[in-house]
Amino acid sequence: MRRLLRLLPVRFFVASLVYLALGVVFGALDALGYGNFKSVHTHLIAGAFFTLVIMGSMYQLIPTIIGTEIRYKRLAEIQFILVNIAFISLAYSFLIEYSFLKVAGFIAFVSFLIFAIEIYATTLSVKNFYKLSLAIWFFLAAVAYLIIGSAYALTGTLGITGFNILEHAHILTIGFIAMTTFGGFYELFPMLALKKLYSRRLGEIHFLIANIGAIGMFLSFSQKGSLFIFSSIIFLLGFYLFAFNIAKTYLSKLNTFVSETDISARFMAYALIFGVAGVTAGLSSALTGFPGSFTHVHYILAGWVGLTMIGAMYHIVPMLTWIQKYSSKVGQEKVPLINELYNKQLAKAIFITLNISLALFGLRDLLPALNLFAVPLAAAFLAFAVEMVLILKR
Amino acid sequence: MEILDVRGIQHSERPQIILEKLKELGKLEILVEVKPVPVIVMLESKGYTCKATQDQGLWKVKITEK
Repeated sequence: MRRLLRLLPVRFFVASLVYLALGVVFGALDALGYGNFKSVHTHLIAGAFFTLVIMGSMYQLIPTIIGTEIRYKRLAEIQFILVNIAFISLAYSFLIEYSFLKVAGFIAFVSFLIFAIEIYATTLSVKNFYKLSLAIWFFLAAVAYLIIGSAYALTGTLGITGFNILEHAHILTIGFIAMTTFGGFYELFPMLALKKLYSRRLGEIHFLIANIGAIGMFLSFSQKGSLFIFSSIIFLLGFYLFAFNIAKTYLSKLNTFVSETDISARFMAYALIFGVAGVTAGLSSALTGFPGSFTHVHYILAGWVGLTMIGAMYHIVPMLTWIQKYSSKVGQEKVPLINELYNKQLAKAIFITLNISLALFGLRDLLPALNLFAVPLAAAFLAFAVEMVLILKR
Repeated sequence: MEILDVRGIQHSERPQIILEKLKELGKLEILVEVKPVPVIVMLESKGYTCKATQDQGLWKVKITEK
């Protein structure tokens, strides 16, 4: 495992798993009424876990896709340390000393800025990078939103500008997290499902629509007037277009003889269902109050984003482990297959538990008894975190 | 050059089978559904040269030793 930890993306993934484990424990305690941990839960999951998985994935995927190397490796190492200090400081601020939030926010902003410099410098060093993959478009947009969202939070916390928590949350979730997830889907899903993306042109149109909708929403969040509703509908239509493109990809005529769908692709396919349900619930909640923001937030973040990340990690982590530990031994001794590095029965159990418990837990505002599903949901996330660490040790 | 059609093989089994064939033959052409970018990166890091072309929806990757 020590050899694997030399790889920067692996360090990001391992750290993210620690935040995931802590975040789900705080979330479950909050849901079961053992304290108010909403802020720390949100920042550990939607902040630390998602951000570190995204950063690790971008450090791994972008050089792979565009055929280059990370531009400033030493700076990326420093960025890894800073971003962890930032998220630990944020958790400390929400749990123990709220006034520390300003320092935590500043460290976070600096680490994000370094990350942005790294990603843009790496990408722009390759000629015609935009032709190589649609994912790159979304990744670059996402990083820009990360800077805008974190600058907004920092200046708000310092009292320089006004601060609206929903605006802050949406710039970072729609802007940074959702845009990255779109990009990840366009790149990884066809590869894992062994299909050709149905239409890159539709993906480009989606990129335009998603950004128009997102920017419109950010600008109108405080008024929640007609521009906000219009922008939300634009974003929603973009999401449906994305879902249509991916569904058509998945259902396209088989060009493969492999019958069983890869576990990673299966996680991502179900994530898409939660995504469609979540964005629809968001607009419906804004217009009618039904089914409520809890369903919207949890179907989008835990369902669409969370399951996509789990799917991506079930691919990337065993692949990196196998390449580092076993690829050089092929032909010399018996080595395990990539899919033998994880427990298939456990992966299936995690898949089923996460989907069922999340579908029910997300509706807890409609039926409070469903709150109990926080327990199996947390247990499945924890099992996943432990399994990822065990893969790295195998 | 020997041709290996990996389309009937599970995604996660492919890198090992490709590497075994390469150790045995030194060069290989693989047929695959989608461009296998991660495998190409891995092979290039191990001293192979990969040339990928698309033909009627099918990817052909010629792998040779540098």
